Parts: sequence; structure tokens; C-alpha cells
Amino acid sequence: MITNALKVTNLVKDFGGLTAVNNVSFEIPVGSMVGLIGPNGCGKSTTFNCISGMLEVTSGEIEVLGRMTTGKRPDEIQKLGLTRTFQHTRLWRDMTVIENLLVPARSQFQPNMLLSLLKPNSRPAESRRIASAFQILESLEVSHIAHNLASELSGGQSKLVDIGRALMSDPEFLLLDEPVAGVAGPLAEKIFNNLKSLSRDKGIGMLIIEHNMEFILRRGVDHIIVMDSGTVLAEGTPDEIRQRNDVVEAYLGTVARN
Amino acid sequence: MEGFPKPLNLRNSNLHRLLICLLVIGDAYLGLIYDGGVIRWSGLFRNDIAALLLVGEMFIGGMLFLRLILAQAQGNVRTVALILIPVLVILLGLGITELLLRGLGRSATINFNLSAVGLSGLYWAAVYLTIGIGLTLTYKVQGFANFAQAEMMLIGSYVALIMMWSDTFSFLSEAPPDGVLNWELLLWSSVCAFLVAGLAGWLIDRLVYKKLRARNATFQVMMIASLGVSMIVRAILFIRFSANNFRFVPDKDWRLTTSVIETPTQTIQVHLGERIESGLVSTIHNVAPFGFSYSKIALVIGVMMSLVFLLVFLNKTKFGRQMRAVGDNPGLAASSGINLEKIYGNTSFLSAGTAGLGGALLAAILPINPMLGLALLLPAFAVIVLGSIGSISGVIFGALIVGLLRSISEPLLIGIGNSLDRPTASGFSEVVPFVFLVGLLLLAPRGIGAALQDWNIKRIRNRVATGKSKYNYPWIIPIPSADLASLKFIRAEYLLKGKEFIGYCFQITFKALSVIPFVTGLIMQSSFKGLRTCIQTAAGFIGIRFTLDSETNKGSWILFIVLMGILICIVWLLPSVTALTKTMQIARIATLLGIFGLASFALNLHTGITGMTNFGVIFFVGIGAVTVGILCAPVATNGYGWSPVAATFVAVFVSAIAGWLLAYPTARLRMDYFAIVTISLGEMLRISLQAEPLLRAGTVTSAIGISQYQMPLEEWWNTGPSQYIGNMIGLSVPAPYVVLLAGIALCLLVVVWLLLDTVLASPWGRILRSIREDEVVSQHHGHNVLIQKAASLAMGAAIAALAGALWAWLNTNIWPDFMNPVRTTFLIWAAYIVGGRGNNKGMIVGAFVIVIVEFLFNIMVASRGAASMPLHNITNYADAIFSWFMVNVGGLVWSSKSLAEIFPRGEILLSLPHVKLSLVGLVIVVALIAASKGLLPEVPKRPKHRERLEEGDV
Repeated sequence: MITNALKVTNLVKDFGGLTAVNNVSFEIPVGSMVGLIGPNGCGKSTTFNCISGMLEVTSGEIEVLGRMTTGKRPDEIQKLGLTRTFQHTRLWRDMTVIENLLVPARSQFQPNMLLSLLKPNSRPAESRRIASAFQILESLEVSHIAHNLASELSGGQSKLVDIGRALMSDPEFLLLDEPVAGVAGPLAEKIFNNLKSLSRDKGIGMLIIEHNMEFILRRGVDHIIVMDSGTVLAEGTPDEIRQRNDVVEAYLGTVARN
Repeated sequence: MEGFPKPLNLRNSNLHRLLICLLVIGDAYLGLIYDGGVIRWSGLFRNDIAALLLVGEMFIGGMLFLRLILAQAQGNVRTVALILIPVLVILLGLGITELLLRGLGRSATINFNLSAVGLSGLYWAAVYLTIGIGLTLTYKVQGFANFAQAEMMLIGSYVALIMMWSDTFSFLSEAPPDGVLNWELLLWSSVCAFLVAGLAGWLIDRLVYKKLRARNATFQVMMIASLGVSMIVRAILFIRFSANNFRFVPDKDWRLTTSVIETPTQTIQVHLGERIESGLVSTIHNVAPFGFSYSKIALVIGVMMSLVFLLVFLNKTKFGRQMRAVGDNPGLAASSGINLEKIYGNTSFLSAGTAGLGGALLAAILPINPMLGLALLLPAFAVIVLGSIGSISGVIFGALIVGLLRSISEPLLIGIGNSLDRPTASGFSEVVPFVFLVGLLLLAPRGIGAALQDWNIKRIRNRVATGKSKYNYPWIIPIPSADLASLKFIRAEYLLKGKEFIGYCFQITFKALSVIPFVTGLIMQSSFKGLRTCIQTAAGFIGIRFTLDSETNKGSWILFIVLMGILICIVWLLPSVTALTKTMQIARIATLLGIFGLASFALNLHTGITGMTNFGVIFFVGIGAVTVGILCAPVATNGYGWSPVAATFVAVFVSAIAGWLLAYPTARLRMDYFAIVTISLGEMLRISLQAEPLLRAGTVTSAIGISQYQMPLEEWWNTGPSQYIGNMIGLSVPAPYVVLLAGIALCLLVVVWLLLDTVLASPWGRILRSIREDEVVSQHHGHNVLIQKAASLAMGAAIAALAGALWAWLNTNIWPDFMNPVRTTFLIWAAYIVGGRGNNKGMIVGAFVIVIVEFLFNIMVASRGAASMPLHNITNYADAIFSWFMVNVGGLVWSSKSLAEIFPRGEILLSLPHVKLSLVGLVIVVALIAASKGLLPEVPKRPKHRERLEEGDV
């Protein structure tokens, strides 16, 4: 039985003399929703990039869903069940929304590679994939834009489609880099509620980088990790974090008090 | 650099790799020394080919090993190792040669004349720098690989020629040698070459790149546009100066054998292979001194001076700082008050100008022709990649290494070639920079300059950490700014008066020139729109009302059918003499359509679908053609005597493997590196065709080229069907073989088209398209980008090889020149851009347009002969206009002597093939500027929800 969805041990990342992440360790239990906060440049995104395999770690170990992933490629890590999003939404712009969702689907060439190449549209597996893509779009309430090009979408729609795309591979753990950045109030709330229900209903674990403290501190994130200058400054439940004076000074400011 | 995706991360376990590479090395060693190993045991290959494969195997093994070691090294050891890469690669090459020779029981003696090697290295470095400086500058400030840079150099060369032929200076170049060097002409032509080439670069920047920047075009688009620009400029140079070689003679004394600096030297002999009485290295002392000619010295000094000037300019002047700021971050630079367009314009002037200056000096050494550009451009790319693109000091370093490499490789190749019965091996020295480039990219994808830079950053960081400031060094003295201010004052005083007038002249020229792209764009756009309106109106007449949207499936098909209808009508209406020639003409067009269509499919798969800018489709086409040719040529003339069908299968397979393997060194390269590597591969194959006897099969073994190979179904065709078909289409004679070939070509085209469209509609197609859009994201969504790219490359390569086989059959012989990019790659690119990226229907239409244009021009060339020929009047008219322009308008600039040199028979004729080339380039550039998606744009895939589909149907 796997207890930790993600376990980071003594992670260090150097960029030619500059240490962006310095000896970071944390564990995230299966199915929990964790916020990762901290001032700009404190190493949050670098930590993400190391976990998702985009960057090679200088030292330290990363374990995803019970498997060691240090040194693995991003696609291998994704196949273990970890999917990430990027801070600046990176959809495949010249493809339609529905296609954007279909690309990450699992085992696209199963069971018979030749047949799935040569008779692509008559395969039941393909229609199942399309059906589940539509289902995800509907659950995010954006199925009406399924046939638009991704480049035609608004910022908020892009964020939703990005999350939908990440869900398409049935991940067990999501790394979300600022899922509601640049999205106005009501829609941001909708996105956050969606994420919460995903975590609650499907038991998908999440690590969320977010600067919107309203969501992180008050909307039911289970646990918060605070980073500062490449190290973990504090860890705990939202209530505990709000009480920590050093965190408030380094990052939170007045939001925590109100 | 902004705009380029971050390099992919394709790690694998190192132990696994070490095992593989040791296995490869061991196997190759067995093969080379003991006649064992997989390649020998398989028994598939003959002696020479087996040896070649073994050498390749050993090379790959050695490279993998080096790479593994580099991956393990850390810190300063790594930096040193990276800088030593060139040495390591050369040592690897020598080691392999040693093994090969020892296995064969032969020996080779390589004579390195030290002064010759060193000074020629310097000379070649200067040659590569003439283009490399400008390339780097454009890269640094504007961010794209400028393929037109070599043409800027040629403009400089031809300006020098024009000056040499001018009435003012011609007495200098014609005067008999008198023992006194005259500097006047050399000096003035350098200045003029700098100015004219600079102005040309500036104009091109205003006309093309400025417009692309206004559209926020990507660097990829800018690079492709520069390819178009290079085609236009080259075509214009061809039209004006013909394809002949010319040499710039500033004064006959420059060319005297006494105009050299004699340097004492000694020769080092390296003995490889079986050494009976000599050691590995021996020295010969009493060697005649090596003469380094004055003109080469002039080039080296000129280039080095422009480098120094540039370095000072970039680092010490305000303008230079602005340029660097723009290169680092255009947005930020603009918001701090820098006029971006002014900086871009001036950079273009400078980079083209330095190339022009070098070109003028180079023309005094090398015979100049318009094709020289590409031959020098590609090694120059190797130079700047080696020096890490965008770093001036890196480019000097890179040029010295590549130059030295080239000068070392010449005696090396001669020595080895002699012992392996290959007297033409020195021809390979042109290839060496490319081989080196590919090898380097395999080892250090970011170039050696990046290693230096990293080291420097680390050093500075350490210094900051330990609290030392850079002003602790006493030898750094701040330059007083007063000197520069007074310079500025002088400039303002003198230039102000002339400035207005010159500005006025510029404006007029500029306006006049911008009419050309504007009108072309207007024609292209209005014909697109007009066609759409026509179709809609025509449909309206028969009672159907619809709007034609070419980005839907239906619209795309309708447009495709209408366009094909129009093109077929044009082919039908093409004039011809008799029914037989008409048949042959149509059959030839159909075959060419098949060839270009297949090649465009390959390009579309690589570039349009997978997003890898492939400038070397011809490499895969060439592999196809050469393999088919060699395998099918009779055994008596050095071939293998296979049947064409089997040979085609092998060719397709070989090419697919080459494509798959290409992915490994290139998958994580930036797209511009990929473009450079692919275009280099094409050139490597072309040069190898000239230099390597294994790639020859014909009546005379020493002759270059492949001929007399068997055609598919030729005997069967002649025994009956030709008669039958001939009767059927109303010929009095049996139908020529090309009719059968046309049938084969069209069948292949349709079969491949259907297959490709099916495969691209499958999940694989959308995975490839996602890689095109953003490969990093694709990888994070679970797709092994390396494998997908390799598969795409292999598939495209296989298709291109089919095109190559057809090409071999159509031409009936294979000369190296058939791989000339001007006749192939560039045309395929034009078909791709005209047809529409990402749409195979568009590829067919694009290829058809290109083939028809080719034929129209062929007919026009032929029509010069007789008044009865079709298009005779048009051709005559074009010649008359051209002649008038050259004599009456151009005469204001150049002397009549310069015309007489180019058109010795006195009749000034327009070179129509080159007019075609310039048109093709113009269409590429204009299509990119107008952001046109081509005639048939990509149709986005919109799979429907099945349940809804059924609901909708009911």
C-alpha cells in the first residue's frame, strides 16, 4: 500500500553556482490537496520542474506514487500517474480544444498498433476516448468550445482546458502551477471548486502553487508548504500557517490577518 | 534565447548506455581487425562497404563513449573536456584510421607541413569569418539564422568585380606586372563592397524582416524567409553575372608567385597502419619554405580588422550597448527608450557590410560564382554553432578551430586516400566541417562557447561571493568619454548637409522596391479571394448557396478539386509540337508531379506536422536515388545488378533508418540547428557523390555519377503494352517509357497520400501535431518525443526515398548536381509554402504549381530558337527589356566592359531559369509576409461525440 503520493528528500538544484532549491524535503499523502506558497523566486517552480522531470536534479531523491523517479524523463514520470500544468498556460494552439484533450489519453496505440494507425476512426477505443474528453469538458462547463482552436480561447477558458487536458490521462497526482493566475474572481472560484471536488470525489492528490491567498488559506487546502530562498520555511495546516509570524513576514503580509 | 523552447530532457540510465557503447566499439573492433563482428558475419556487405560501415560503427561507438564521459564530468573538468572536444574528435578519427589500415594490412603516411597547416588554418578561419561575423551579429541582435548572409558576401565580391571592370580602374587590373603592388583598387572596392552590401542588407531588412517582425513572426518564419531572400539575391546575381567563375585581380602583381611571404617550416610525418621500420611520428627538417600569398594575408587582416572594429563598437559605444540590449531583451530595450527598428536596421547594415567587405577580399583569392555562397555558408554555420551562437569571441574561437580542422584534414585525407586507392579523397575536406558539426552537436548540443560562458559566470559569481570587485585589476582603465563625444560632433558637422539628399534618394529607392512584394502579395491574395468568389458564384448559378471555407473538410476538398481542374487544364493547354512530344510532355509533368508531390509529403510530415524545419529533404531523396541507381546498375560497371523493385524496397528501408538515426543527435536541438544539420547532410551527400568511388557506377569507373541502371518493368513494357497504349492514345509509334513511369509515379503518389492521410488522422497524427505546437508539453503529457520524432523522420525519409527512386528512373543517370538545393530543396519548400502547411492536398497542388512553372520556363528557353515556337514573342520581349535595363539603366552604374565580360557574344539574354528561381523565392517571402497559410490551409480536426452525432442525424 502506497502512503505517499509524492516524497521529496533533500532535493538540491544548482544553476551554475546559483542554488535555486536547497535541501528541500516534504511528503504528500495520497489523495490530499497541498498548497505550495512562497515569494517570487523562492524555488517553487524549480521544485516543480525537478519533480516533473523537466530539470535534472543536482542531488536528492524524488519518489512519485511509491516509485523512484530521480533521473527519469518527464514522459516516464507522467506514465506513473503524475501530470503537471505550466504557469503560463501552454495549450497546443493550432489544434482544436478536443484534440488538445485527446493527445494525453493513455494507451492510444493499444491493443493493436497497426490497426489503430490504419483504421483510426472505426476503433471503439477512439470513440471511448472522445466520449471521455467530452465528459471532462462538460464537467468543466466548457464543452461548447470543444471544436474551437485553442488559440481562439480566452485566458480563463485556456486555464480550464489546461486542467481538463491534465485530467485526460487519469492522473493520480497533479502538479498545478498557478491554476487561477490571471483569472477573475467568479471563474477562479469555479476552477478552484472544480479542483476541490476532483480531489474529494476521485481522490486525486494535488500540489498547487498559487499566489491567491484567499484560495490557499480559506478554501480547504489540507496542508500548506511555505518556501523561501530555496528552502522549506514552514509546513502545516492553513490555520497553523496563518499563526506563523515568520511566514507572515516573509510572504503573507496582511491577508492572513483579515 | 527567448522564443526557443527549452531543450528536451531525454535521459536514460548511464550504465545501460555504457554497455551499448562498449558493445558497439567491441563489435567494430572485431570487424576492423579480425574480420569478425556483426557486419562481417552477416555477409550482406562487400569489402569496401563493410569497411565503411565498420568505420561508421566505430565512430558512433567512440562518440557515444565520449559523450558518456562528458556527461559524468562535473565542474571545471567538464569545461576543459568540452573545450578539448575538437582535439578529442580528431584523435578519434586518427585512431579509427589506424585500426582500419592495420586491419587491411596497409600503411599511410600523412605529411603535415606545419606552416602550411597553421597558415591555411588561419586563412580558412578568415574565409568562414567573412560570413560568420555577420551571421553572429544577426543572431545576437535579431535572433534568427540568416541564410542570405552568404549572398551578402557575394554582393561584395561582385561589387569588387564591377569596380575592376569600371573605366576608372580597369587600367590597373590590366596593366602588366611591374613589381609594385597597387592598393588603390583593393582599398576602394573594399569600401564600396562594405557600403553596397550593407545597404542591400539594410534594404532587405526594411522590405522583409521588418514586416515579419510587425507580425510577430517566429524565428523559424524569419529563417525560412531568409532562405527565400537568399534565393532571390542569388538568382539576381546569376542573371547579372552568369554562372561563370570570375576572379578579382586588383593588380597583376597581387597574383605573382613572388607575392608571398616565405615562412620557414618543417614537416611532421605521421605513419598509420602497418609500421615496419618507422615510428608513429617522424620529422623532416629541410623543407622548402611555405609561401603565404599577399592576397590571403589581405583577407586575414581585413577580416580581423573588421572583427576588432566590431568588438570595440559593441562594447565601447552607446549604439553597441543598445544593440546588445536589444539582443538580450527587445521588449525591455524598447521600453527603456531604444528605437528597435533603428537598431535592427543598423545591425543588418553592419552584418551585411562586413560580409561584403570580406567578399571583396575573398574574390581576389577564390574564383567567384553565385553558387559559392552555399558552399561557404554551411561551414560558417558550423563555426557559429561551435562558438555558441551569438557570441563574438566564441565565433573567433570557432572559426580558428574549424579553419585549422579543414587545413589539417587536407593532408590527412590525401595521405589516407592514397593508401586506400582513393585519389579523390581530398574532395572530402569540404565535408569535414559538416561531419565535425554533427559530431559536435552530438557531444555538446549547446556548443563550446556555452561551456566557456558557464565557466565565466561561475567565476564571476565566485568573485562576487568572495567580495572581489573587477576594478581590483589594475590593467582595466576606464576609457574617457570625451574622445567619443568629439567624434560625434565631427560626424554631425559633415554629414548633416549630405544627409537630407541621401535620405531622399533612399526613400525613393525604397518605395520603388517595396512595390514588388506589395504587388506580388496583392496578386496572390486577390487570386485566392477571386477563386473563392468564382466558385461560390458558379455554385450559385446551379442553385447551391454556400460559403467556401477552406479550413473545413468540405471546403478544402472543393477547393482542391477546382485547383486541380485548373492546373490540369493548364497542362493540357501547354503548347507542344507533335502528338508524341505532347504525350511525353504530359507524362514528364505527371512524373515530376509524383516526385515533387512525394518529396513535399515528406517535408510536410517533418516540418508541417512535426514542426522540425527540414532544409534537407534532398538528403533522403538522394539516398533513395543513389541506392536504387547503384543496386540496379549492372555488375560489370561496378553496380549490383538487382531488380528495381527489390532495390526500391532497400532504398526506402535504408533511408528510413537514416531518418530514424538522425533523430538521436538532433531531437533535442533547437529548430534552427536542426535546419542547419539537415541542409548540411544534403550537401555532404552531394560532395560524397563527387569524391567517393563507392557511389559511382558507370561505363568508366573513374567517372563521377551513376548510369546504365535498370528501369522498373522496362522489358515488359517494350514487349507489348507500349504498343497497345500508344495505339490507345492515338500515337503512330509505341508509347515511350516515360508514360509508364508517369503511371507508376501517379499511383505511388495516390497510395502514399491515402496512407499518410489515414495515419495522420490516427492518434499518432495528433501526437505529432502536439509536438509541433509545444514539444515540452507533449513530453509532460506522456509522449516520448524522441521516439515520435524518430518515427516521423523515418516515415518522411522513406517517402522521400520513393521520390528519389522515381527521380533516378526519370533522369536515367545520377550526377552529383541533381542534388543541388537550388534545383530541389528550395523548389520543394516553395511547393510546401504555396500549397499550405499541414495539408497533404495542398502539397499536391503546390508541387503541381511548381512543376508547371518549371515547364513554362523550359518552353520559354526553348522558344528563343525559332519564331514559330510558342511563347517566342514573350521571351523576345523579356530579353529586350532586360537588355535595355542592363545597358541603359545599369549603364549608369557599371561600364560596358562589365557587360562584355559576362555576355561575350554581345547579345544580352535573360537567364530564364534564374528568373524562375527568383520568382520562387519571391513567392516564399511574400507568402510569409502576408502570413498566408497557402492555397489549402491545414484543416483542424474536429472529432464528433458519437452519441451527439446520432442525435444530430435523427
